[in-house]
Amino acid sequence: MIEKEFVLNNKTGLHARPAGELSKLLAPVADFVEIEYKGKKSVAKSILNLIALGLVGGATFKIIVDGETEVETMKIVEDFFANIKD
Amino acid sequence: MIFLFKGIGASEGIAIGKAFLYKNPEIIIEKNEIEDIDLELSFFKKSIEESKEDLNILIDKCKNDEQKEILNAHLLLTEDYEIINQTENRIKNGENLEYAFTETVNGFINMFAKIEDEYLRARGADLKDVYNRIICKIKNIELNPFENLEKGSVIIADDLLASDTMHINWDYVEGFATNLGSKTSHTAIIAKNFGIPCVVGMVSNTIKSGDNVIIDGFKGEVYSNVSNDIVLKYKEKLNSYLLEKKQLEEIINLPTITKSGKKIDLCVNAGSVEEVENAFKKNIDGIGLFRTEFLYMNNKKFPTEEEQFEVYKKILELAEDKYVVIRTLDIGGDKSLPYYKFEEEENPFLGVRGIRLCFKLLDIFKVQLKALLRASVYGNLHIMLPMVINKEEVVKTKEIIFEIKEELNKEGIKFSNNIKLGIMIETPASVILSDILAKEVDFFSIGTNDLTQYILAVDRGNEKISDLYDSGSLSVLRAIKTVIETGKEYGISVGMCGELAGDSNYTKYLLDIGLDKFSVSGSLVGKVKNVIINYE
Repeated sequence: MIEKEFVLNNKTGLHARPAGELSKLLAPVADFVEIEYKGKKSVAKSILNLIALGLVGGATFKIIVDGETEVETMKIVEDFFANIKD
Repeated sequence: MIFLFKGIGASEGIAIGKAFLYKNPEIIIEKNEIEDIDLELSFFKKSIEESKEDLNILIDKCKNDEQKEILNAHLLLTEDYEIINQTENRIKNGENLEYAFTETVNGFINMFAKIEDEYLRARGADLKDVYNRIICKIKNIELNPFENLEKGSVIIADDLLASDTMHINWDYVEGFATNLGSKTSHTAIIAKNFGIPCVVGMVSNTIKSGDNVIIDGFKGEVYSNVSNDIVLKYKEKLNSYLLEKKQLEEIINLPTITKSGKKIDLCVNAGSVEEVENAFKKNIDGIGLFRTEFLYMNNKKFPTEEEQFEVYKKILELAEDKYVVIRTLDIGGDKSLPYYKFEEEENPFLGVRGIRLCFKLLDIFKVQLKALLRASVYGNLHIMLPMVINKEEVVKTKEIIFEIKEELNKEGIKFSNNIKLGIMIETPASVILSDILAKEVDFFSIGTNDLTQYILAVDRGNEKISDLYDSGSLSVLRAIKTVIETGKEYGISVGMCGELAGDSNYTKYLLDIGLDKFSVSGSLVGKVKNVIINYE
C-alpha cells in the first residue's frame, strides 16, 4: 500500500468535470484506490464520491493505493493532479 | 387581483407571457420481496445501458457546449462505480431494484446537501436528474414534459432538471421561474446563456397554467394574474431595457472621446485574470486598478514569486500595449488569511493595513515587487501603493525597488526601465501632501471609497450612519478637485478608481473639474462611456 499527499492546484475545486476525468482514468485499474480529505475516506473510482467530498481549490488531501500495480496507479494520479485545470 | 412572488433574480431582463406549469413526475417507490436476484440485477444493467444510450443520443443532437458538458457529466454519473456497486450489493441482500437504487442514490443526495460550497452543493441536482432518468427506465415511465409548450410561454416549475431543459424549444420561452434552485443551478446558468430572464427560489406560488405572468429578472420578482395596464407598463419597461442594452452594447466598442475631441482614458478595475480577459473584450484604455489580494486570499501560503510572476505576466500580455496599474497587497486586520494571523486591533481601518502591512511583512512585499519587476518586460506596468500618508513611505519603497533591481541585474534577469510608480490617494494626509507626493511619483489614483470614509470619519460598514457616507459630499469633492489640480500643476497623471468613477451621475462633474482617467468595474463601462462621449 502506498499513500501520498496532494494539493489541489486549481481555483474551482474538484467539481464534476475533473472528478469525472479522474474516475474515468481509474475505472480500468484493478487496484483499490481511496481518497482522504478532512478525515473522510472514500473510494476514488466513483465520480460521486469525489464530488461529494467537496474538495475546494487549494485543498490538501491524501490518495491511498493498494494493489499489484499501485506504483503505476499512483503515477496516473500524480499526472492527473499535476495537470489539473479549472 | 395581482399576486407578487419574491425570489432571486438569476438572469436579468423582463419577460411577459403565459404561464406554462411544469410538474416533476410523481414516482412512487415500493419495497417488495424479490424472488430472482439475477433477474433484478440484469434488469438494473439494462436500465443503465438504456439510459446511457438516451444520453448519447441527446449529446449527439446537442448544439450548446454548456449543455453538452452537463450531459457528459450525467453520462459519467449514470455509470458511477459506487452507485452501481452499492445498488447491486443491496439487491444481493434481497432488496428489490427500485428500492435498492433509490436508497443508494438518496444516500448520496443527502451527502451533497451537506456540502458547504454552493457550487458543489448545486451539483446534487445533477444526481437527482440522473436518478430520474434511470428510475423512469426502471418503472417504465415515458418522459416528454414540454410537448405542449406554446410560443410566448413562461415556464413555472418547482425545479427544472438539466435533462428537462434539453427538451425545450427555446424560441417558445420568454422566461423562467422556479421555486427551488440557486443562482448557480442549471436553470440559472442556462437562462443566462440564452439571455432569458429568470427568477429562482420563489418562496411559494399560486400560479396556474395560462395565467398572465411577468418575470422581473432584475429584482427577482414574479407577478401573476396581472391586469392589462400593468402588462403595458412592463412592456414599456421591457422596451426601454432592450433599447438601452442595445445602445450600450454599441457604445462599448467606441473609443472614449468627448464631443469636443478630448481623449479620456476609460479603464477597468479587476481582481482576477478572468476579469482582465473580459475587460479587454470591450474598447477600454487599460486596467486602472488590478487588485492582487486574490493571490493571497485564495491560497494556503503566501504566494511565491513564480506564482505571482505568471499572473502579472499573463495580464500584461492580455493588455498588449495598454497600461496595467497593479496595486501592491492591500489587506488589513479586517480581512484574514488562512495561513497568517493578524494581531487583533482595536481599530483595523486605522491599523496595520496597505503599505503599513507591506513594510511589516517586508520579505513578502519584496517577493511581490520582484515578481512585478520581472513581469514588467511583458507590457506597460504601473505599480501602485495603497494607504500612503507621507513622503517617507514612497521614498522607502523606491529604495526597496532599487535594491531589487540591483539583485535582478546581478542575476542577469531583465526588467523594464519604464515602470511607472504611483500611489492611491485614499487618506486625507495624501490629499493634504499631494504637492509633496507629486514630486515623488509618476501618478495618482483617487480611491474614493476609503477617501470618503477617512475624510468624513464615517465607517463604511456602520449601518447606523450609512446616510452620512457619501462620496458626493462637498468635502470629498473638494479633496478630489485639489488632487486633480495638483497633478496638473506638477505634470503627473491623476486617475480615479473608486466607486465614484463608475457612478454615471458624477461623470459630468468629474469631467468638469478636469478628471481624464476613469477606472470602473467592467459592468459600468457602457454607462460611463455614454456620458463621456456625449460631453461637450
